[in-house]
Amino acid sequence: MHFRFNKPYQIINIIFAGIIILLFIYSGIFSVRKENHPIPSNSELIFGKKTPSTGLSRAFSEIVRFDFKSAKRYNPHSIKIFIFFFVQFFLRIGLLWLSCSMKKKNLNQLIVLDSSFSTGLLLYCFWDIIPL
Amino acid sequence: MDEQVKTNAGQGLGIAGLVLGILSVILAIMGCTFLIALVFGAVGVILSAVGLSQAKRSNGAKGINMGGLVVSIIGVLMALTITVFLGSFIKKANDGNYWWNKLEQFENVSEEIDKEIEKELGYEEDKMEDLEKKMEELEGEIKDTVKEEVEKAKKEADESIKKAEEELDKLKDEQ
Repeated sequence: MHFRFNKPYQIINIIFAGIIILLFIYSGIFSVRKENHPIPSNSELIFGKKTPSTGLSRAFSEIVRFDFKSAKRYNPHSIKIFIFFFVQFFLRIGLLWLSCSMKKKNLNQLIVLDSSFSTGLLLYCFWDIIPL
Repeated sequence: MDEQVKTNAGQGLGIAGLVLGILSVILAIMGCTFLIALVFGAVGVILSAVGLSQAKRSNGAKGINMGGLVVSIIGVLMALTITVFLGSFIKKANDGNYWWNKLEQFENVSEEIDKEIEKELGYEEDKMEDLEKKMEELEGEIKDTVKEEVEKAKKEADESIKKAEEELDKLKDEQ
């Protein structure tokens, strides 16, 4: 099989897979015990109050260390959101591999299917923390 | 019919715009990262717009640039909306119906429980002070008693030494 990463869809898949890996590395490097997470909660900074998504970085750090109980304590929705990124990582890799051997017509169908599924999954996993 | 060959003009900017747009949507949904979402979305809009103009000028593919522009605009709008809703959400929370007010109530209840436990175990501050005073008094009494006992023992020892010396003297005289 001849792989050529020149289609925009493939490049986007590579970029997102890379971003998700960086997210996992970020969660692994920074930990709750060291209290060294560099991104503060914007709402806590501006409004001085917590939002339903506060504590996600700390929860992710606990999840990559397989401490799920502690992660739930920092943010009760963290596991669902982590699953989104976990699924997306393997989806990006899988779709990248699949798209390399596809014709343009089939690729367009795949892109529509991928964007619909990813949007649905995004809404399902993030629904509880949307402050609307 | 002659089909014009599409160039790659503006494609890189379109990809960057689309990625930033998608990230801005995700970050806007997360709520507490709405500022980063706003920045990402704004940069995504600019990159996609520039990419679109390049694609128009050089007959490039416009789809990805359009996609990037639309998603970035959605990201910016979501970030702005969430900023407004977050403000009202927090205002409502301060008014007293939302979960974090309940959390504060829960914290108050847990503090009360702690106090009750301290009461039950007799760790109240007043009681602790009384206990410390009594301990000091007891310590003083113990010191006095020990002092008396030591003095008594000293006297008895002195007397017995004197007696022993007298008996020793008697024995010397007899010899």
